[in-house]
Amino acid sequence: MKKNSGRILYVEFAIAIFIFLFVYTGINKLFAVEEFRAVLSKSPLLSFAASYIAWILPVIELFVSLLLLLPHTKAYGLLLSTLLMTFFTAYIGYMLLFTPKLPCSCGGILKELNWSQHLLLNSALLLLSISAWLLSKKDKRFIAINRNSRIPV
Amino acid sequence: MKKYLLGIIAVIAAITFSSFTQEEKKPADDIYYFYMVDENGVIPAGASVQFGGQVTLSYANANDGCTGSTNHCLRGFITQPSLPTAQSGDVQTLKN
Repeated sequence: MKKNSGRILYVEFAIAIFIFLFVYTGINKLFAVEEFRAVLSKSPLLSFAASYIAWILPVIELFVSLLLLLPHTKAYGLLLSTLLMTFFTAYIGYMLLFTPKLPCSCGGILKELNWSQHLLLNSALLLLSISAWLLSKKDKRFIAINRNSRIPV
Repeated sequence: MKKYLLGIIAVIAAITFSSFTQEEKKPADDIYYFYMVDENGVIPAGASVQFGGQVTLSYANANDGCTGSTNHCLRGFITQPSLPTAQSGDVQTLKN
């Protein structure tokens, strides 16, 4: 029982972190959408669609935050968070290897990090999202068993 | 309501932090072509772009290699100027 409540707490904590992260970076990107688009247009990987990505990415981040906030869609939210973090981490890895002189197109204070620090942070967040997603699947099983046991006497 | 609590706290915290980290509007293009200035304050003809391409001012400041040397250093341009030029450019790296 104690182990399961620890697991639930871990998942809820991870969800809160990702809601914070995506709402914060999403809002910051939307507030500085022109600057974000200008930096993306210099990226060798994403320049071809910079104008679209500058709008779509923050909207996706806010949408994922909404999925994470609603109890019935948390699992999808965690899955999409994992996919987003995988994409961000791969992108940072690419930038670090091929164009380290370009600035980061991140939102808010994350822009102050250099590429290596950013890669470290993103790797940690990626691990957090993967573990939370896997644990949330286990939580579902636990809740189902618990509900079955609550038979009125 | 309790199951939304952590999430709502996270949303409020994110919005609060965002409102505190809004910077003043910068020009949309904050990446520049940097050129080395000579003793006469001129970027000579044929001078090559420093760092191999466009970089930010903070990157140029950290890597201009001017520490303790001269009173001239790098000038940054949003668009590549025709050389030679004595223009001061859009930004300049700090003189050391």
